[in-house]
Amino acid sequence: MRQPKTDYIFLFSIFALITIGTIMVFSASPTMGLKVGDTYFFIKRHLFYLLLGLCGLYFALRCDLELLRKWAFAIYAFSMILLLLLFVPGVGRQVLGATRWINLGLISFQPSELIKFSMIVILARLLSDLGEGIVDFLHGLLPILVLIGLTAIIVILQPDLGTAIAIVLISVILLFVAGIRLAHLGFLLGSGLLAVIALSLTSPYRLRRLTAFLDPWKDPQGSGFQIIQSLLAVGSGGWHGLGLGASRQKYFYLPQQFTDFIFAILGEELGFIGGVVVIILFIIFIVRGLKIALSQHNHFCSLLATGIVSWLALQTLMNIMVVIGLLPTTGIPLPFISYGGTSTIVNLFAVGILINISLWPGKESKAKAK
Amino acid sequence: MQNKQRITVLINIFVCLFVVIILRLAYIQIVKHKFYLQKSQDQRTQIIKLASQRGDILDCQGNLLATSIDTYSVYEYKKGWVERKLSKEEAEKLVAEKPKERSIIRERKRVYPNDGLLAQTLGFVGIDNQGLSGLELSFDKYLHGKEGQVITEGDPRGRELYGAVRELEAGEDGMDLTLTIDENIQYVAERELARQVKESQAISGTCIVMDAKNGEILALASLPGFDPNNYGQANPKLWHPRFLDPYEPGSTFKLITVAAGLAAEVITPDSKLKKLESITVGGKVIKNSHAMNFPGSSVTVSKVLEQSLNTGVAQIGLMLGQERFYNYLKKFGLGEKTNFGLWGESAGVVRHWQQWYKPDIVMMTFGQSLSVTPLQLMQAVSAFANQGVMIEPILVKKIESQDKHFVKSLSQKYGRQAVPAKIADEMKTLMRNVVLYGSGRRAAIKGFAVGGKTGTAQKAKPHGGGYLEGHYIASFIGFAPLNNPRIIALVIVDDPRGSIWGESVCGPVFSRVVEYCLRYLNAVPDML
Repeated sequence: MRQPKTDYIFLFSIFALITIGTIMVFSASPTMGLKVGDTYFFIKRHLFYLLLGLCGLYFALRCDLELLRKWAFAIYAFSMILLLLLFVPGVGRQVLGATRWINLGLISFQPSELIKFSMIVILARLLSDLGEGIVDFLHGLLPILVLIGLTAIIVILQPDLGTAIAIVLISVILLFVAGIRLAHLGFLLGSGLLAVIALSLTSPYRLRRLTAFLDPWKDPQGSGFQIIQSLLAVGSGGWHGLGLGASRQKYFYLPQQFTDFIFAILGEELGFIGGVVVIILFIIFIVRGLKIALSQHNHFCSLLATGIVSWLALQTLMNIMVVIGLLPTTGIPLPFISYGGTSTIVNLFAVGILINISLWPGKESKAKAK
Repeated sequence: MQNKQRITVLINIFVCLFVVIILRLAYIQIVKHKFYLQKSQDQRTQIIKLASQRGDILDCQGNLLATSIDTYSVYEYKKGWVERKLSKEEAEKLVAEKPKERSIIRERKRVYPNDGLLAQTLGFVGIDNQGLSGLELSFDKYLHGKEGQVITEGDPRGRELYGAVRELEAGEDGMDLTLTIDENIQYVAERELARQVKESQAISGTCIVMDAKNGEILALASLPGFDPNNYGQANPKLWHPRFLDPYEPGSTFKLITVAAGLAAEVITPDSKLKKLESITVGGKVIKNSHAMNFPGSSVTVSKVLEQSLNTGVAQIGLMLGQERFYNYLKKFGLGEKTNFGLWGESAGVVRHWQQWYKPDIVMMTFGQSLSVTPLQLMQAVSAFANQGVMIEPILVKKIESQDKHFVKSLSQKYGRQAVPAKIADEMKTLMRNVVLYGSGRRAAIKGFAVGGKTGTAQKAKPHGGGYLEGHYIASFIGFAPLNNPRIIALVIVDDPRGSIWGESVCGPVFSRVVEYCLRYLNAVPDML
């Protein structure tokens, strides 16, 4: 029997990250807010999304995990329908050349954020059902690979390569944790890498992003602009930063300064020290989050927790690596910190599930203990 | 359980990746900090130029001839200037049309309070207050000053950041220019000249008044002129100061010939010259412009000047010979710039005597086959008023910084001794006779003894090859009062209709302008 108890350090890391995020949105968004006529426009919205997210978190805490397991296919199907709706003319809202939002009037909803969660749920269900069967390639692994591939392809068609890569990586992590044979894993990673290269080469805008990432100074006014501006922001922060609110790059030099590139403004204002504090908070969240997976004997719940933590960890890594020029621009927000409606709500909902898992004794383990 | 081990592996992978991120952050934020900070500063640094105050131009009494006033310009984001140098009301009206994109910038505008007065000499400035013509161009270095600048931080659209760090570099205001010109004399000279140019339906006219003692140019009238406040509306040909260009002086030049003859002692004031209707040199037949309606078979030197006899001065020229005559021309400063102050002055054309054609020696004696600028001629004639010493003309008296820390006074330089003092006095008498008995009678001034010489030159064809039929340049040069000359003046009227003679066209202008000057300067009348 496992004695569920609340992990306060884990909760603190989440709380601290959300607080820092809110402060940074407060600092980085007014320049853009002025453009739409209200300095506090984005802060108000951010607080509103946080409120919705907390509702989501409460709902996730209260929901029955067994029910989640049972409804895994339905949730996945629902997410897929939303995703496919984007291809219906008039429903999707196009931003920056990609159709990723469903317009709900007051707010827009991003189905790709939901599909990541649904993908984790369905994989946790399938893999926990499969158990040791995963070692069998044809009857165990292949159907799951087909599912992953299909989902990824639909996301790519939006086009949203960043999310597709995230989905594939989360899936690979879940396969790894679920006990995939290392030979199969090696084969998968190899072919995945080839697929990414092929996709990058077939779309001129992806290729431009890739080359810009390798040598941004070649075209400082064009494709290299954003990464250069991001590096200027981070670099000018130094040890302790220019001080909260003192960013210069947020004055329209750095695009997406309070969404995907908020970490650059954080680095500029709070410096190396501030950046490292945030990274340590993320490490605490991830390590403690995976501890939940470790301590959970229910296979579904353990995989679900691993999936959720890995998802947020991957997004954190990818986002920061883009900001500091280690990855090409992908369009992935920083969990808990970036401004963004859907991601804030879905992240908090997922955190609610995590806490729920940590508090749940787990039926399967009971059954096995008998 | 294998799963648990794999989760531990996963934890380690994640932590390792975060360590990579921290190392990369350390590299960007600590190792390369200065590099990125500099780049970031460079791209947002904005320099706002602060226009310097352009110096004023004043006349010798301190009256404003050119100054600057505040105006308001309208700037539109991304489009640039909408309209510049408006009144405050006009500018505010334009901004009200698009209040988000347009803003007002204060600018200084050059104004010329006397409109067209002295226009060609003053010149004008461009939209950015840069000197484009006249004194504004020639003395731009002093008038312009140094622009100041504000170094500040701006966003990519050029708007200043909130809480931007500002750094001010003060500029330096331009210096004031005090001219030798007297506004009142300039006004009278222009008025009298304008009247004559209109009456004679002439193309243009020039009237220059110079202080005979120190070379200060008191008036530099050149008509038709333009209004430098609206120079764009005038014919660009009118912008150019005509008196910088050379012309063939005609009979006024006989003064130089006679003075050279006297100085070389080939003649004396009492010499008798042959009374000739014509003289042929190198196949060229030289005639007089008037019939000689006086008795006798010879003429005095005085008579030659009084009646302006070409055949008379031609004889003097032949007596002098090419080399000697040429040397005297050089002594009188002909063929050299006077450097009186304005850019673009011509040096005139006096060819070396070895390049002269046969008839040139006589043509030049009455001011053809060579060209001079009006100021060169005045400088040469000033020798007769000053015991043979030429006075170099000057236009700018003083250059002074706003804070009076820099002052540059430009006083007149005494020129060379062109002829001995005795010859200068003899020339005075001869010039006096021209006004008393000869062609210069209409230049006489009540109460003052005047010396002078008329000129009625045929106009040379613009591209050489002889002279235009029926087109003349009438002129008169002289000084007064005779025994102690205060004023030298030259009047030129280009292509008069009706009467073409220097005496009737230019004599009266000279008389009225110089009379005004003498009374204005409280000169003592010497002929009561």
